[in-house]
Amino acid sequence: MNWAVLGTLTAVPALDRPDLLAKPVALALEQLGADAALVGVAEIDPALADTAEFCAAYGSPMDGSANCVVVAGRRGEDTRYAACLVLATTRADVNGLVRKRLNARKASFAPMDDAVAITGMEYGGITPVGLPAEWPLLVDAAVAAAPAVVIGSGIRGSKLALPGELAARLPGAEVVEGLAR
Amino acid sequence: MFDPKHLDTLVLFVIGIVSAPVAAYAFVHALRQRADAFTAVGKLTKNAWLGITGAAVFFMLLIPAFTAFSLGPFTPMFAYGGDPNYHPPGIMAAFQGPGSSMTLFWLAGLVAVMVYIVDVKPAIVGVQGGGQRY
Repeated sequence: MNWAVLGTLTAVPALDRPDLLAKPVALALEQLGADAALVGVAEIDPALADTAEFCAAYGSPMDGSANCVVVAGRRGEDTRYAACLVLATTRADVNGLVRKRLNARKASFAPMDDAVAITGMEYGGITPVGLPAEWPLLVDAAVAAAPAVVIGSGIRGSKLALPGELAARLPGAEVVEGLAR
Repeated sequence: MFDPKHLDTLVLFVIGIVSAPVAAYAFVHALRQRADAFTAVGKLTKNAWLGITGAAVFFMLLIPAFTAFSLGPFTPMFAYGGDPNYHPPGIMAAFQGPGSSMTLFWLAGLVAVMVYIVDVKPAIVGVQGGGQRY
């Protein structure tokens, strides 16, 4: 188990602490079967959930964190969502690759209220584990190649750590080269 | 006071007055956007635009303001009778054409601010769901 990416925090297997997981996240982890053992969870101060503050407070490297960005693509009246997972040191190319993948005319960050309502996760804690099944999960190649990454847990009060390789084969995941800049 | 021979100067003066707060607005606007919005729409980074609009504020607002402050903003600006050695006082001194040394930077700042306002700002506002963030 390589959860050293969590810095000074001590992680435990995620399914041992369902109280530190949002409901859809715990459900999705259970469905991962044996892979769920690769996912660790650690409790944090909810006020330090934003990546930059989290990394500074707990000695976790910025390039060991992955941000999950929910993108809404629009074509006419139709809105489609996708989640993007990129390293915290990079930013997603929303209006390029993501917009094309969603086959949308306009792509934007999903309004936080919508994202929170649809995913059942907390603001600032949105994570690629346990997203709605019909959402594509676009994983930047750098995340897939990372030995371990820190992601949200669905709530602000904890973080997950898991191998990038596992993030790249979560349900709905596709590895996208050049997603992040 | 406004000699028609110097109508061009008057036009520049008005543009200078009107554009200075616009530059400040562009800088503050860039400051208040989330950093990944700039990358999301394929523009320069937030820090790059902060630098560009910040420099524009310096040349379009701070320099003229300090010049006006030190020389007096309301000393007659167009009262000189074509004297080549005359240095216009007040706010005009900062962008007075060849010889003032600041005009080129002022013009570059004006262009950069217009690019930000008409191109970058609508794109990053759009990618944030269209909700205006001032």
